[in-house]
Amino acid sequence: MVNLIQNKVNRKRALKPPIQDGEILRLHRLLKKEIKRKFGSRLKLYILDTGSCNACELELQALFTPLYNIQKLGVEVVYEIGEADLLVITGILTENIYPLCLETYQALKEPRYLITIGDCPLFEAPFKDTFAIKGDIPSHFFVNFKITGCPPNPREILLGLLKFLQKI
Amino acid sequence: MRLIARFAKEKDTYFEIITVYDTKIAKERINKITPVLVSIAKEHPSATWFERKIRDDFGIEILYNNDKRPLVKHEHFPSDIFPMRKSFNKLSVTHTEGIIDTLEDEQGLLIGPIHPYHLEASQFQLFEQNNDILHFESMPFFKYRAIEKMVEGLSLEEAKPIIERISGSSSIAYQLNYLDIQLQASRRILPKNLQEQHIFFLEFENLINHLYDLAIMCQFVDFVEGYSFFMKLVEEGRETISLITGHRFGFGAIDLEKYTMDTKEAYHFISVVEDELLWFEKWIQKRTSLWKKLVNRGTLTKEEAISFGLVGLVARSVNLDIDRRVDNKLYRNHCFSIAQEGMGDSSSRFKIRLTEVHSSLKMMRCVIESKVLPFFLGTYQDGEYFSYIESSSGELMMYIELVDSKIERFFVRDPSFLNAQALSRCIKNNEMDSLGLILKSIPLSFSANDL
Repeated sequence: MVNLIQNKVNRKRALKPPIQDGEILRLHRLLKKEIKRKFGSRLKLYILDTGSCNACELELQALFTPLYNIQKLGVEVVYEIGEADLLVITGILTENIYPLCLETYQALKEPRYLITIGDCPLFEAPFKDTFAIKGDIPSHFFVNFKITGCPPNPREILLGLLKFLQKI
Repeated sequence: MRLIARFAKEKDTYFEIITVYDTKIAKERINKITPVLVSIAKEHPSATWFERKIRDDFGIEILYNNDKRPLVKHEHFPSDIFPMRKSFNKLSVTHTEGIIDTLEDEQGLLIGPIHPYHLEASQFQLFEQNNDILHFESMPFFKYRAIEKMVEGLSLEEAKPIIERISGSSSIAYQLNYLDIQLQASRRILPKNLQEQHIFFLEFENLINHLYDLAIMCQFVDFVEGYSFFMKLVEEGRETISLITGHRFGFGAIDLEKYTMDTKEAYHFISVVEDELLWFEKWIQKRTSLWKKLVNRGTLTKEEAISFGLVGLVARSVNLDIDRRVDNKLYRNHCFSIAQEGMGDSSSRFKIRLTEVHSSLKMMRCVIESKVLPFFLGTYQDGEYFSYIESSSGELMMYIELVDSKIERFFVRDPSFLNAQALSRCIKNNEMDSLGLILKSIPLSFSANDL
């Protein structure tokens, strides 16, 4: 009995959510409203890394951790492009992944929404051109919104998502 | 002898093959007219990937290596172009239509580039039967950026921002590797207190990476409390390192002109992690459901680890004492000891991470109060420079040849390059349900691997 109670206490301590400050709470409120208006309460993201250093992916993943907790707002990551509402691209557009990127974009359901995260997709990070790099994403695909930064932090991504939703 | 790396470079009249072992560096010359290299893959299985890369990069044929598949060049890359040759200086190549390999076997699956198992784009080939994995293989260079070629001809200063972005999660390790080469080239020795500050940054990065991996491992065994617990610490860690270095991933942290550090925030974070971990570890000791899911998953033997030349906590999980930090006098002065386990499975890799979190915290406490003064690098001397550092994933090796103060050849061997080759052994004969756990139990960075 004592063990059961102790386990319950431990579980509660491990799951205790961190304190969300006013900025996160405000962004949450606005995002929830926009997601509901534009996508009927659920926004499905397909994240495609076309050549990143993985920092942008880690910042995107931070949105799904207890502090930012955006799954609570109805945002989820899908692994089938056909299910996605929004294609999120991180990284430099590399030659190796370009055919897959094109295929992925074409498989995105209409209306096609694409946002870029970070400076790499715009080719504004400190990398230099090589034969292995195709170029910047906006030269090859229509981009609805660009969230810049190297990498943008989770708050900047949240704000960018909100601006994208308000724009469409 | 442990094989650390094998790579080629082009000289005016010949190719030079550099093979780096733990005890020696061997060099051999290959003529340019009919370039052929004898494989060492029989003695060192991990040489296979290095040799496949040499063939793709320079067009050097490999004798007695049965694996003739390209590694760097994908199906649509022209077979007669060898991009690391000096004569190749185009900024684009006309890609052929090429036949993309498809798996005809009903049991075969191509996983990726996007999949729930790994954050970064990567591709795996997998064969399964009745939920058992029969064969698994990692297919690297999926998002090849040609960084080795990118930095050729640049000065060390010009290349620095590129090097620190090879792998976001290991940026500090890369920066320190690079700084070591800058120091060797300028014939300088870093003052002790500056070295201590760098140890602090490196251990901070290692700590965050271990906490992150622990969180994801908990997620794959449905231990949501563990996931939540570790992820909260990861976020707090990123915020703290951002206050100290000005960046959540430490980009630009190793800057010899910046020498102040907010120790108050750092002390607070260290204390929080120490307190929380003490309680958490006591709790999970008795949580048999967690250990049951970790034990005997993705087991590697000591013989396999030696034969593949594995590094980092993967090697240490089978009792191998491979850790570059023991070579460092400052680590030894602060009683650093290697974390080792013997089972070679996911539970060993979980436990080692926990132990290493403690040793990182201890090291951070030991060096936190270092008072640092400005330090300047001198003029760089041309030559060849090798550097080694222990990142959270394992031994990271970097090589730079400087000619006329410009980078003539850059080569880096991330720990993932060795450890990814052992994935097939580690995953084979496990159940499909364990795939995510095993993949995450081995620290892999595809951005660093694919360069």
